[in-house]
Amino acid sequence: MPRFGMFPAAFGLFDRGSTLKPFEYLAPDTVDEAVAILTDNAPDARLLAGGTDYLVELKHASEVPKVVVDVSGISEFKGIELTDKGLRFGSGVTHTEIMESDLVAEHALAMQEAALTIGAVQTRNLGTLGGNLVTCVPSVDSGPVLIALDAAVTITGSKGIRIMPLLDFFVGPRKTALEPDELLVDIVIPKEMLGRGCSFRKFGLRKGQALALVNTCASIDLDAGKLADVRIALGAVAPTVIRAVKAEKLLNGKAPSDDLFAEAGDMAATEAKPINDFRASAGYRLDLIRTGTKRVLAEALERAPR
Amino acid sequence: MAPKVDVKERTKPLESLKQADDGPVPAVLRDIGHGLLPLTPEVNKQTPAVGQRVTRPDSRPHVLGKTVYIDDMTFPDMLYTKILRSEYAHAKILSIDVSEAEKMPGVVATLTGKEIPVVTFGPSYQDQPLLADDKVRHMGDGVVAVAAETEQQAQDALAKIKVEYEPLETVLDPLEAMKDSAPKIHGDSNIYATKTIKKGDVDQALADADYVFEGQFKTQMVEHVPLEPHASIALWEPTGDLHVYSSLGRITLGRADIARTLDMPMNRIRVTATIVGGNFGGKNEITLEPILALLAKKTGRPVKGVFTREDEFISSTTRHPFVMDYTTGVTKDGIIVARKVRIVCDGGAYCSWSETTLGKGAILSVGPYNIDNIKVEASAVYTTKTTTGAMRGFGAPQVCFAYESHMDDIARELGIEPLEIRLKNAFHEGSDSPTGQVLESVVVKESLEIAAEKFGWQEGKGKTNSNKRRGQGIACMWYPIGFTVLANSSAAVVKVNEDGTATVLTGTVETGQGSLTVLGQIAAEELGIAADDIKVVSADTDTTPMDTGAIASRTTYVTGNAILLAAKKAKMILFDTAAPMLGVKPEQLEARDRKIQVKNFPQKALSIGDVALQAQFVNGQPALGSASFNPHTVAMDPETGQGKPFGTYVYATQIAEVDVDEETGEVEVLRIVAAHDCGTPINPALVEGQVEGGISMGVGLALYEEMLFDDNGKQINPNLTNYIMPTSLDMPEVEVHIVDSYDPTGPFGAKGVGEPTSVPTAACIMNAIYDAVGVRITSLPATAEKVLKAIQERDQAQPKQIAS
Ligand SMILES: Cc1cc2nc3c(=O)[nH]c(=O)nc-3n(C[C@H](O)[C@H](O)[C@H](O)COP(=O)(O)OP(=O)(O)OC[C@H]3O[C@@H](n4cnc5c(N)ncnc54)[C@H](O)[C@@H]3O)c2cc1C
Repeated sequence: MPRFGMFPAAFGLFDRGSTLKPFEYLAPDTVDEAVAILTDNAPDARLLAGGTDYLVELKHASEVPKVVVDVSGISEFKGIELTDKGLRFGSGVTHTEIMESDLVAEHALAMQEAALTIGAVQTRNLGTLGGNLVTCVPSVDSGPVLIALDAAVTITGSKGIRIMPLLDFFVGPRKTALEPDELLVDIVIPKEMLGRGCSFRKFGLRKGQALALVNTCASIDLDAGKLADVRIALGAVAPTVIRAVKAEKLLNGKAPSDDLFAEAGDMAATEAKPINDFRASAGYRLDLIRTGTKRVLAEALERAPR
Repeated sequence: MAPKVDVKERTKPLESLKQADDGPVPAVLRDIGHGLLPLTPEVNKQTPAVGQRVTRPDSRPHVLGKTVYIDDMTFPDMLYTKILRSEYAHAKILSIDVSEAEKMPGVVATLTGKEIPVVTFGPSYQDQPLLADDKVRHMGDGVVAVAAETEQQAQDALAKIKVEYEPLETVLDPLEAMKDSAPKIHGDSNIYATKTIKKGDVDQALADADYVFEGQFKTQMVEHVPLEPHASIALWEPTGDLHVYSSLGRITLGRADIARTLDMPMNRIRVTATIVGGNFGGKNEITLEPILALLAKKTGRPVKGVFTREDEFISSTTRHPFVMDYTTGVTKDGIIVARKVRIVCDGGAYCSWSETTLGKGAILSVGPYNIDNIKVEASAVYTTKTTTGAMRGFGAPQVCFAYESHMDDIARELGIEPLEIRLKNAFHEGSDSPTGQVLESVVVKESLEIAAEKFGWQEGKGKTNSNKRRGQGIACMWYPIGFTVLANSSAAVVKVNEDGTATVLTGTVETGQGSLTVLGQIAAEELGIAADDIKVVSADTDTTPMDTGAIASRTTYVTGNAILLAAKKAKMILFDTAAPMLGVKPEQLEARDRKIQVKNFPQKALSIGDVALQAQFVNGQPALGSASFNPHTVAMDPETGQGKPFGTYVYATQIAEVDVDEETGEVEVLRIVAAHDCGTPINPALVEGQVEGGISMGVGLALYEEMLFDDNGKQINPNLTNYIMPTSLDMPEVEVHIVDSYDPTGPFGAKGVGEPTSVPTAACIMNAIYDAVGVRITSLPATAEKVLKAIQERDQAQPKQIAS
């Protein structure tokens, strides 16, 4: 174990003017070590990757866990690569790495569009794809693209490895299918989804550093000029990311047109249950779903190989 | 009065110096372990000093992270303070029990309002408690302070304090608060200040006008959000003197408040201003200082207090929401003949600077236009919300949004072009202000023309671009320099050293705007030396002379004049010394290029250092001068508001270009062209910096920022996640033009520029939105949702024509 100690003292961060409470800090190098620590300490252990979600949570937490396990040094969680299954993202890949990857640009451009909207440069340099998905807020910005591209996640733990669709991994607001002793290893976009027409839009209260009021992604195939296997994913409009299945059905097998996309936008709005809060009314969010869905469909069409 | 310096004569060398500024800046030292070697750009060494784009001595440490803010400062044995704040927006305090909290680990002392000698303070009325002792009037009111070994321990102890309250009825809406039936927050009326301005016969003129227009406009509560929250440290010297370090923007008045609340003589209190990490008006009031002093006294240890971001939102001052009703009479040619304005200012729980804000707002509400018949009635009312106070613009951004939106509505109805209607009505040199003041150095028309020309303003330019529609909007404004009528003097000392360099002592605080650099340039100009030859020592009540502070855009004009006068006196000593050495009379001398020389005979000259040395060591009369300045004002008549409230005014125009997405309501501000008058730009680079920064605040006010409250008066978004400020991505391209003007009462013709820069921004953006999509947003901020709703209502009102 390369690093351990009491956080934040181990980082020289602790001073009397700090309100961060101390806890035990462990930084394993391998998945096996991490699983062993979790097996021994769950549920009193928490994982830390970039810390951009977790440290915010910790700052406001009344209790701190016994152990915090920093997974940012685990080599199996790194890298973006093309495998025989598809495009694989290690859970520890940062949003900046996604933005800078040629592989992503070539095979899943919309992933880059989504990564660019996350926080600011500092957040993207530290924040990881895994952390984003595990935090699982309804507005999770990397969720819609991965769901529109039918991504699957690999989970490991003391009881072995599980693979499941990301759609099933998202259970509810801030709730995933992970057990306390499990880790997210990677996310894979299947081969057949790579390179299809896909587009992402996020609507926030401003351009930079914005929480999504609505985020939306569509991916499509064209079959002899007709829309095929359309996938529409919507974020921030329900407890977790949803697929607008009725809108998808409406589109499949039809020739694309602006009117059809507008109709699909209206349909998607009927499938969402956005909240009413001080940021925006439910009615406005529905307007954004209509507009957003229509626009991502149009852009996905432009990008679809013919 | 300052002699006129011909700035134009210098434009040529200035141009070449501007390039020097753009040239390679000395690289950051790699080896910062050796400390910071000052690397002085050439421009700082040039004479004449006024007009140069001198760089600030503090910018290098800022970007290297070497600046020491209060939060970086510690003293041995220092304790940390946290404040328990009210659970209710309005309640009687029945009892406070700190016994459990005092037993908590690390807790050394607690303090309640009852222990403070004079618990209330405030610039106009002393209605605000440092810690509430009998009643809380908004959720941000502090009730108990705890000092502990660590910040965390202080925080943990707050939960153990027991306060018993008797909740009282709250009132959150200012119009409700004006009603007789409303719960009273202080005394027996919630209306605590009123202002009236009357000129001509407004009712008759409205009756005679060809057209009468009405409009209601509303603005929201916003926060200053300085990067550095309020912070201070108090410690007692072994002599029994109190030393307070504070990020306060006005230490002279701060010390007076501390002395008053602690019931101590002023000479026993030393206030040292630390480097201020943002002020914008929010640091014009004491907050923790006396509390820390008392905790330090109780414990015998230094005590530090730094606001959290939430403290900053819920307990520090904010910008006043205004409700403004306009009635305007015009002739068919678009000449405004009468204007009636009613302003209701939501003051929150305490008066703070509302009196001043109301006064300025009322005077300015008429707009920079010649109107013979005027009636303005303004009142400030208490509500059980966060206290409002000083904030960049003091009511001006609110009224400018109203009068300039209203102006475009009038122009459209009359079919007159927006630029033209403004030029028709705008003040000119010698115009009679709403308070009957004869205006001088008036350049509002020039600012309109320059902005329009540089922007490329053309009639009816609205372009479409897929879902987006482009629009352009114009707004102009006027803004006063210094306090409304009240004395707001500054004093200064200028000492010429034996080598011809000089030291300036001033009580003003550098709050990030570069004021010390500008003040140094003023002293340097008068002494004929360069900015780099001056050291400005500021903001320590034990060593520097009084100053009213970094407020009201007054530093360059008022403190600058004091420094100019002090430098003149020092210069007189130099002239008296040099005259016999050169065989001429003192009146024949001038100070230029680091020399004392005979006018028109530059070859007959002595270096200023030689003269200063002679004065000090041979004549025994060192070259130093002290002086003070206070703008000349005449009190306003309480019935009619007639008088001369300010020494001078500045004028400006901003033009915005926006894209509005018709399907989402999102507004993108593409560019803002700003033409601002500041009198002589002592330092053009710093003027540009102020304009850019002011516009960023204006964009926030226009489109994003709003402090929201729930029905109980609790803030919904007191954090930077949910309080939406513009980021760099939301900022437009900003083009700054300085309008040529010269104020004979200002130092070298200078006026001021700090606040006015954020005044017309919201107004021009709203007018651009109208131009783009034909909807009038009458309440700020124009969020995307609000704009979309207005667009949808527009479409319902005029159904789209369906092609047959
Ligand atoms: C200023 C700011 C702006 C932000 N803006 C956005 C935004 O625009 N859009 C957006 O979606 N998010 C945003 N975020 C949230 C956050 O940055 C992202 O969710 C980020 O991707 C989280 O990654 P991380 O590595 O920092 O996660 P961490 O904080 O390290 O971890 C987050 C959670 O994931 C768990 N975890 C991490 N790695 C693993 C793993 N391998 N296996 C199992 N569990 C794991 C942790 O235990 C924790 O519960 C923002 C955050 C901040 C501070």
